[in-house]
Amino acid sequence: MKRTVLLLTVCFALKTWSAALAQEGGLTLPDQPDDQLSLMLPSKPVDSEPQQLLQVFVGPSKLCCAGKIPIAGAYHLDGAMLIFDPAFDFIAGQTYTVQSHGENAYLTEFVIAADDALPPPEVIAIYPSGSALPENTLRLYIQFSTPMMPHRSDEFIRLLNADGVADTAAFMSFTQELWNADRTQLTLLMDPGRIKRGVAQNTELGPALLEGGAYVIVIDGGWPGAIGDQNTTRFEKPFTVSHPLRSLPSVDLWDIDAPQTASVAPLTITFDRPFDQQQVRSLITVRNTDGHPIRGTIVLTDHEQTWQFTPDTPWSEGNVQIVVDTKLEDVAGNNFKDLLDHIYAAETTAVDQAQITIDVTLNP
Amino acid sequence: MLNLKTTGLASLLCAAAFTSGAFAQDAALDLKFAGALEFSDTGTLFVGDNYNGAIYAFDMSDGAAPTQVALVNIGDIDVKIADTLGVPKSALAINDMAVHPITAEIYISVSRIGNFKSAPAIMKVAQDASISMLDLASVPFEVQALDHYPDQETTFRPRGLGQGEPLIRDIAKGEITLSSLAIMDMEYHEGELFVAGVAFDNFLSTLRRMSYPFDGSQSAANVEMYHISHDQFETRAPIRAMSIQKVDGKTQLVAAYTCSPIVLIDLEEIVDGAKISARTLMDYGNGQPLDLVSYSAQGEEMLFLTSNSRSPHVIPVSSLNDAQTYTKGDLPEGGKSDMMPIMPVGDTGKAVMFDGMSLQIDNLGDALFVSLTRDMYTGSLNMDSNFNGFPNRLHNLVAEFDFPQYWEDE
Repeated sequence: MKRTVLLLTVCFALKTWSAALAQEGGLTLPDQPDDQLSLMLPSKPVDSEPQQLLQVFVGPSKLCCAGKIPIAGAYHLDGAMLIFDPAFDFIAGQTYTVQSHGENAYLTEFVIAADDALPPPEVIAIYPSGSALPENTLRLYIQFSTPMMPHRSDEFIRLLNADGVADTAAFMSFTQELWNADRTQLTLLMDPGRIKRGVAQNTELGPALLEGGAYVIVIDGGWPGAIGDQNTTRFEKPFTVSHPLRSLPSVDLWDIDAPQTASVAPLTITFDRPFDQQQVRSLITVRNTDGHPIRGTIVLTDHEQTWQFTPDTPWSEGNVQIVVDTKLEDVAGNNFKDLLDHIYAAETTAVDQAQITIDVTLNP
Repeated sequence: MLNLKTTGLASLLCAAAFTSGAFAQDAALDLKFAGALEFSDTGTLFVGDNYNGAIYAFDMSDGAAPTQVALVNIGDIDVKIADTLGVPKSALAINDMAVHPITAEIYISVSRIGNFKSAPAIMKVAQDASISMLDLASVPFEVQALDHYPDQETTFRPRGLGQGEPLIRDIAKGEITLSSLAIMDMEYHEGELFVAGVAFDNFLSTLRRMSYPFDGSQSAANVEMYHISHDQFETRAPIRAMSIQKVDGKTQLVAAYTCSPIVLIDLEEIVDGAKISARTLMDYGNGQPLDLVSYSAQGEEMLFLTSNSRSPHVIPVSSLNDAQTYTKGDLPEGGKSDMMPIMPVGDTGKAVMFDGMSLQIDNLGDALFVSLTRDMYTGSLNMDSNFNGFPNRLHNLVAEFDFPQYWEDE
């Protein structure tokens, strides 16, 4: 997987012996993020420490290397081969510059090909995934194929109406964007001031989404990934707007399909509405009658309206419990205790316990 | 001229200080997050891991003291750390900073994002201002898991201000997990480590104490305090920064909370299962405390308190003796903001100049502070060393002294 580079080096200053060295010995560059670098050393003695003979820097050669710090790693000698093992894996798509032979600097650029490890940045999903979104949809999740450059969402994400006109006040603008830890998922909130009836933005601008309308969320091309120099290509999610969700969620509105005991058939819940795709994966758990969690895999289908739990091992009892955390929100931010928009008096079906337990009898 | 082959072994030993491919993969050291840092008096480095719910103690006691502590100034230190870790600046987060009490080396805990993984690293800035990555895999360590470590699912509950519509940040906070506050600050004191943060399933403000070397036992006590500007007792929001001091003849924890009470807690009160009522001494004005550093200036013990929203505050430790304490009913009812005549309450400190905002600060020897300072104008993050008697970058301002004519007239 390694390729040996013999004559790709750019010579900035050289002594005769070191020029010969680079061409004879050769530098082996990494092909994969976890590869090492190696440099064949001359047979004659050299008056430098290994660290001086082979250094790797972040960035292109034109910005290298005065005043820059080489990346951390370990040096080993294997015969006449000097090997550099970086402290962390190289990042695919990032340009690095190798400086070989100390003061007589040969600069060699390399990039770990993005197709080996890091796909180009692109939008891979937007949640809610349905083609019809409730008028008061609160939270959108945009999933990317790679870690993304932060603080650019304002520039690249737009909501267009059917005439192609952008609504520049549709989304909340945060000083701190809501990324997951590896910056592959951005949480985007519709401005709740537009959703909540009677508050200033709602009165002045109206809701961003209107029932019966057609809209497109556009993520423009050109959004750079966190690493490397690749950009997104344009992504569009067209959708229509359905009736707002103005009632509290209730487990009474769910259809529960019990599997057969002793099987690994899934336990299925069909919701009356789409739930928050992130919360619904963690806030509904399956337990045995002692209250111990049962391990398994959750799959969401039908645009987050069907939840399927497949146990890791066959169902061992005739009864199980589905435990629902009442903080679970539908896509409009309504949970079992409270509606996001309080214009209506509190509904009598609101619950005040932290969890709702549903007893399920498996089929014999 | 040295022969490379004969120097190979020495070089490898030398290079060992940089090694770390093993760092992230070594099963024996499963550090997932390098957060809060604290040194013992002899150079044990404590690292708070909020992802694992554990504290790691690395034995770094074998360094020598410099003959004289040097000022360390590094421009764009975030870029230089990112360079060392092989990533652009945008893939780096800085979590904490602490200075080795003997060697005066400066340690910075960071998170490095790359190829879908967030990895911890600890950087060392030597007295000659060189930056390197600490090879944690080569340092002997002990680990102490936290009891009552909270779940990592629960997020902050968004709230509006009074009956008003929710503000943007009220909603944003609803996306952050509470367990990210599990370890906020650590203080080593006479063979024990004191740890502030949130714990238990209901995320209560908790003070822990554990002896070091770790013996597996630890105590966890909930802390309640009266919050002057909120006019209520609070049990959840954790201590942000703390320092152990002799106040009223007793060894006490001086603790700083958000918006912004300063409270005292007698160390004797921190016993397992206790519900501590902290004594609130002051509220110097709204903001989020970042660091609380104790040092000597003008012949007395001082506390230097930084905030994300205010100039640093200098509080003489002696001013906390016999201080009035405040509880519900002592002051007019209701919330109190900076502009109200009653504010600040009980403040015995002074706001002092600091050019730029300090993200992290610690003592560097007896006479200096070292700070990671955000420059107002360029946004760059610089490591600066300031004299602690007058800890600022006054020379960066434009004043009468910058006019050449001033010196001609002199």
